[in-house]
Amino acid sequence: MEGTKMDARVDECERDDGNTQEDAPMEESEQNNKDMEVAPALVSVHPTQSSVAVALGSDLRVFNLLDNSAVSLMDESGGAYHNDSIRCIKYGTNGKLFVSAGDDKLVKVWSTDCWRCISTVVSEKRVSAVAISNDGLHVCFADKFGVVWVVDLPGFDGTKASLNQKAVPLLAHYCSIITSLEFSPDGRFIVSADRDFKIRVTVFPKKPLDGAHEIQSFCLGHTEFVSCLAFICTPDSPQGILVSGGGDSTVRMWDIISGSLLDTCEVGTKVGQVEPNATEGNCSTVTNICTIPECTLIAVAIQSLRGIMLLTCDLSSRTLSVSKVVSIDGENFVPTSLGSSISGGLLWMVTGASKFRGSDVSSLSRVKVISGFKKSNPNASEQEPTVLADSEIPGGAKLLEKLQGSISIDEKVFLAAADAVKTAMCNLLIKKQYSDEKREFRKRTRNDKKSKQ
Amino acid sequence: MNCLQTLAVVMGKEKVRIPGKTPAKPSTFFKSSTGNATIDSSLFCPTKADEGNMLVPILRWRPISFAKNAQSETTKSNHQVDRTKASGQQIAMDLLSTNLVHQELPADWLINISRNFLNNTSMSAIYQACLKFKSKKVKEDAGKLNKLVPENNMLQNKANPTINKSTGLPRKRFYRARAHSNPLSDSHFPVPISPSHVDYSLHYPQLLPLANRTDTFNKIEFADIGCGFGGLLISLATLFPETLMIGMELRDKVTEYVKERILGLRVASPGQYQNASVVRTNSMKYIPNYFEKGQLLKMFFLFPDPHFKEKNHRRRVISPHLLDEYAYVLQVGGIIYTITDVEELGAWMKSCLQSHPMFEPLSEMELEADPVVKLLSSATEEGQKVARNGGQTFQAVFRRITPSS
Repeated sequence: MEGTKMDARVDECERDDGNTQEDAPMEESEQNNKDMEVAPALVSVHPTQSSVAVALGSDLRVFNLLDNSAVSLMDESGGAYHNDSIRCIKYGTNGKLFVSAGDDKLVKVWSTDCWRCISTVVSEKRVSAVAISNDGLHVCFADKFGVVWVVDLPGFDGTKASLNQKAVPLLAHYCSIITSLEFSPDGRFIVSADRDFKIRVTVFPKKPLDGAHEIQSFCLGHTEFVSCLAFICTPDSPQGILVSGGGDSTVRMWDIISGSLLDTCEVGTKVGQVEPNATEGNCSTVTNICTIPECTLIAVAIQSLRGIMLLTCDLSSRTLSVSKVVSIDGENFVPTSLGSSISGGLLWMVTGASKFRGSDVSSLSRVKVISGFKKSNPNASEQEPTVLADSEIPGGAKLLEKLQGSISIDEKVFLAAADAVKTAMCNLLIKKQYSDEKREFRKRTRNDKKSKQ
Repeated sequence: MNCLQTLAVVMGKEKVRIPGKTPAKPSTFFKSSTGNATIDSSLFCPTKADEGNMLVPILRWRPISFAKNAQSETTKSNHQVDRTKASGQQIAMDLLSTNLVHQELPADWLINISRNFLNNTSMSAIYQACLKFKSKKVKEDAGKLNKLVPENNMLQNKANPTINKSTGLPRKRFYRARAHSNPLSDSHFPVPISPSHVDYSLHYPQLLPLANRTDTFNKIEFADIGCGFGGLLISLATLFPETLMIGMELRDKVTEYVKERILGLRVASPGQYQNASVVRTNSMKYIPNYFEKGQLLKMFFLFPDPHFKEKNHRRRVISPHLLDEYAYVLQVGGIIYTITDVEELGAWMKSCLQSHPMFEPLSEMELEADPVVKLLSSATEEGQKVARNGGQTFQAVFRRITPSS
């Protein structure tokens, strides 16, 4: 398959392509380039917890929990599946599909039964978020310019060869990186969050290829970029309650029908209580949110918190409050991604990144699991989440070996890596301020021509 | 002895005969110390080559040297002011402090002085001094002189020089800005977090004085996107006095102009123009921050930037994706008005609107009946320019409908 060869750049894109090696004034930026090419490790869990996937850089690792074995992915193209960092992965809610996409401008859709790549879609620009519709018929991906594309999947029966599908623009945020894309639990709406503090709720039409034109609402309230979205499924509102986290260190709850803000939780201040040296500047960005089904808990990963923060959502009063902070002792573990399944009751966390400088290891990932969200004892007053030891993780050593690359990781290496991850995350999320010459240089090399197809 | 005779004596140079009683032209008295300037040489802008000190025919004369390295010939009776120019204030004082007021000044003198003193405060001082002269001619000359000085109104006005004193309206020349502004760049202006954070009391102080409004009446219903110098807003404000309207403009100088214009009009016509206002913002990014769902009745896009190059098409203000947002803020039945003088852009806008499921075109009859349609090509500066040049305009007026699913 041919990727588009153009060197597309966007004003708001904070990552360089790494092709700018020309002038002297670029030196200081090259360091930043390297920092910014770091891709945080991602984790995603199958809805029924039959498999777990970790993406680290361009490497996609999947472990099958049902038969306790590592999965080898099959791709028609051969060779490496993704050429460049994977930025987003997701399982479809019906459990049959898995999608991965990233900086190599390819969106790959996999079947979770045989782990074969059934479809590869070419994107014009780097992909920043993906989502699969609940019925498994469409895959949406968002690029760095704010356009959300949709492609419909072939009615697959597993035997059809992977065709190159053509994606059609579905909707667009104007010139703003889309950080997260989610479908509502009932599938009626698609929610997109961007870097200009906005969350847009659009009606997902019956014929998505004609475009999603009807905007249901805008959820406005964040005072910084919105970094992650998640839905809480409740019986009395089929469209779910939207929870979002952002760069303003808040987690907010929204009613997507009206776009009104239900509640705000200032997690930044809570982090300050736990980690004394954490609140310098903007290190309290909410990096990831994961709702834990079957209980109204929301797990929040914060940039400088070594552990996760749990929030409870009171459905009747529609409020959010901090429940507790689960810190991970003994390890400098700042989760970069969270995942959970619908029924498993476990929270999977991963930390790590790829391609960072400052250590010998080129990439690193560490997986940990928290359990104990279900009340073991009906008389217990509250949940007691605990961090599982390596041996207690489902899949055990084999899983760790597959997903982490090795069972255990050297302490020093891990520390160095953890620091690098932290700086990388900071750089990723904050918009870079360029000097004037650099800006002019970037303008010169920018090429916004439409790709010839 | 009259003053001029005194002058000659004080000079200490060769005695010059005073020809007759009428004051002679100053040039007759002037001699440059090096002898380069001739008698006939007027005071008009002696060049550096001419150097020398120009003697001003006042009792106490002050050397004004135009050359940097001029040898200073200071005599005891003057004190040196700054070498580059004598202060007009001093001259004015001199004029007043002598008996000159009863006499005539040499005709060219004032003109010459004005050429040397371009500083407005100096001129003003001299002018004021001249007014005290008994001679009408002097006063006349001084008056003419005053007009020579550019922007003399400023001194009288003392307040904002950019506002025309008589009408109270801003002068466009101080607010000129480039026609283009990059809509992609992150400008640093405040953006309301949500529509409920828009401060109506700032924009419509007379109509809605309370800062925190909780009522749901009286919202903005007309929005002029890219309002430029505000021509349309002004016309609409009187046509629809009950409707709140706002203009959105990206360039800050132009926004300032429109603000001043509206303020001036509010003062000049009390009770009117209270319903119009302007805000500086990037309407392509932040429209949902200002308006709620279905709030607007009319939206205007008059002569938008065509962005000819294909790679810049994404910056066009009418595009298939942005129309989603415009459809969101428009009521069902609300109308979107677009007009341009660029044919390709007109075709583009029309096709975007036609292919969008939430817009339908207005019929000919409806266009005829709508009073606003006529304003599209005539009310704005851009429209008037097009009309002057005899250009053709292409308009597309569509109504927001509920999509048939």
